[in-house]
Amino acid sequence: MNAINDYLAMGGYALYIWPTYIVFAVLLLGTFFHSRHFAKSTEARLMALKKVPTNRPRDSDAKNKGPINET
Amino acid sequence: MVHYFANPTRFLRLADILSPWFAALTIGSISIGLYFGLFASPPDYQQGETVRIMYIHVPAAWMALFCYSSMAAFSAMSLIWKHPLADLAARATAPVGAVFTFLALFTGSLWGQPMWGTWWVWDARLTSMLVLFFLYIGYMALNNAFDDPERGAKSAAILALVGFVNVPIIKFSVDWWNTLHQPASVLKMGGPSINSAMLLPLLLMAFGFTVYYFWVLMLRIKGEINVHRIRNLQIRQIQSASSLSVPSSQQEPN
Repeated sequence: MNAINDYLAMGGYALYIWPTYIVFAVLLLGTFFHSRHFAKSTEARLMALKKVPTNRPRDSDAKNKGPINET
Repeated sequence: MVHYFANPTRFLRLADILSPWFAALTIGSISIGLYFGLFASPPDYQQGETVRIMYIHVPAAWMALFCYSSMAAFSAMSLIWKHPLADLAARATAPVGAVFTFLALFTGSLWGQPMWGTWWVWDARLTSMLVLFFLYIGYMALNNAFDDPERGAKSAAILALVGFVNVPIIKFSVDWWNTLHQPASVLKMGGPSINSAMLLPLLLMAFGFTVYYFWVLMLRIKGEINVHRIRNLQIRQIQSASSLSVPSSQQEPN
């Protein structure tokens, strides 16, 4: 038990060393999860948008009708 | 090679292949680095145990400069050759670089209090690092400040290039000015001047931070490509909706 306490005390510098490692872990993990969420949520939105039955002009329509509204 | 992977679809395929490798290398090298940094390395004869802060602080500061240099290079590529991915890569790099800069400043402060007796001092190295942090923030703000994303990207790219002048200033600030911050002890003429027991965790963490950046970069570029595609799809849907609604009413009577 004493060995663990001695180790955690870090020669009296525990208050400076442990926050360093905690902030490091929080920032790197946070950035990673934020980035993964960014990639996944945008992917889901893109897929949802693609699924929407759009009235996108089909290529054949565009070819047959030519420029619309020109008379 | 760069041209080949500048195609988003090809890039996404490459990213899917590389990401697991980056993930494994990041977790592996940071875990071993933490073991050596926190357990299997001795305290410094002057700094005592606080030398362990260096295993985070120094790689974070290196990455702050590395990410900024990458961001400036991507910005130059996007301005000069108009690579479709270069701009997205610069955008994806900025938040990661800002995080590393903040980490370097924060951990430096935690080291400065017990070793220098102060959390902060306005000396050349610390001030130029703070300027770097604001450059990252400014880059991100400028990128999103325009309704037209292309104008935002162009302005931000110019800011990134102009701000690059700060990178050599940071690197050589400890040589050019009389500062409280110690000069380089790893990347210097004549080789590193630190003991291998301390160099090992330092290099492991530095390698881990670098592959972490690549790993997160893949995810963020993926997200940026998605955002780009969503925007294009929405524009096309609006255009087709407005162009189709008129003729359909015109043609119905026929």
